[in-house]
Amino acid sequence: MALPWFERNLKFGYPKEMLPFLLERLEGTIIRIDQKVKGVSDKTLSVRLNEKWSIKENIGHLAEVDEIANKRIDEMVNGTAVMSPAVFEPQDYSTWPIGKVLQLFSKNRAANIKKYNAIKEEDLLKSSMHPRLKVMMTPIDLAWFDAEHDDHHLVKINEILAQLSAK
Amino acid sequence: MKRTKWFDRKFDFGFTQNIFPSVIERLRGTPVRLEEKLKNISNDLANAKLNGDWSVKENIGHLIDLEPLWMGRLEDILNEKTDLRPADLTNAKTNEANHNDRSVKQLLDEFRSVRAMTTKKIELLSVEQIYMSALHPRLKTPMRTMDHFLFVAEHDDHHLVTIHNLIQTQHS
Repeated sequence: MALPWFERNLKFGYPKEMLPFLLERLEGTIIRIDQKVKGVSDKTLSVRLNEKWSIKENIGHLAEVDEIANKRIDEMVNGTAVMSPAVFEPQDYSTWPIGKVLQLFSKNRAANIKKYNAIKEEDLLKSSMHPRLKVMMTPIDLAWFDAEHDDHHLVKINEILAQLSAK
Repeated sequence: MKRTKWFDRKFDFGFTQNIFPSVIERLRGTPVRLEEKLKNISNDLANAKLNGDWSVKENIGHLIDLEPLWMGRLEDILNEKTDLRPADLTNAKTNEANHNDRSVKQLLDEFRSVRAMTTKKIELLSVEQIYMSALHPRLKTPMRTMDHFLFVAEHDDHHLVTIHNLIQTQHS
């Protein structure tokens, strides 16, 4: 079972030469999610088990987190002391067709990857404080953080699918 | 952008939390990431060897070639061996396999198949088995099952980036 995200101990300080690998991971999440939800009914994708987020809400959450990440990249590069806070409760995506939710995530993710690729080398190790973790993070650290966060939600999606298929 | 070479990579296996479900999920995702990246690749591009380095096909073949090593190392850990079996650092298996004689689809299908066997096996491991360890022969550090497969996921990413760069370089 996935470890609760807010309980994860996270270590930062990745070298800037790790960015290509992290961007590869971030880009790969789109097709990994596509594959996971392919052929799954809209009803299943909208189910909230035990009042927890549905699969659509998990994906929508990743799209919303990417909007914040996009802002945070600018904040780090521009020397803002503390980055923008995270979003916690996704909007209700149950009425959205899955294609639209996937499209939103894919659009936001592509925008972030483009932004990461455009950062000047000398700006890659600029840092700002993460508002919840109270640690300094660079754009490289944020890319790693978001890649780990993606994996967390992919595991959650698997868990939902497994529970629903066992019913 | 410069990227860290595989043999220069530093790994921190000091974490204590069980993140194995995420690691398995990463491993499970590699076949579809490769398939997506290579869905429109021409045979000429997939065969091209730049500066004598491995082609796209040889990079995929290398991932197939290493899967028995990864599973062998899992056996070493579960059998309480002191050291993990060594890798052939000359990569003779990949260099001699003539992976370029096969189609991209054949290679991708085989990788998907061997990786599915790996994930099927490791998702059944107990928590105790996930925390068992043996010494990595090159890194000289104890590696738990969880660390070992995190290492594999990072190795996958290394070759995904190599493939990405091969395609980009030839397109430009």
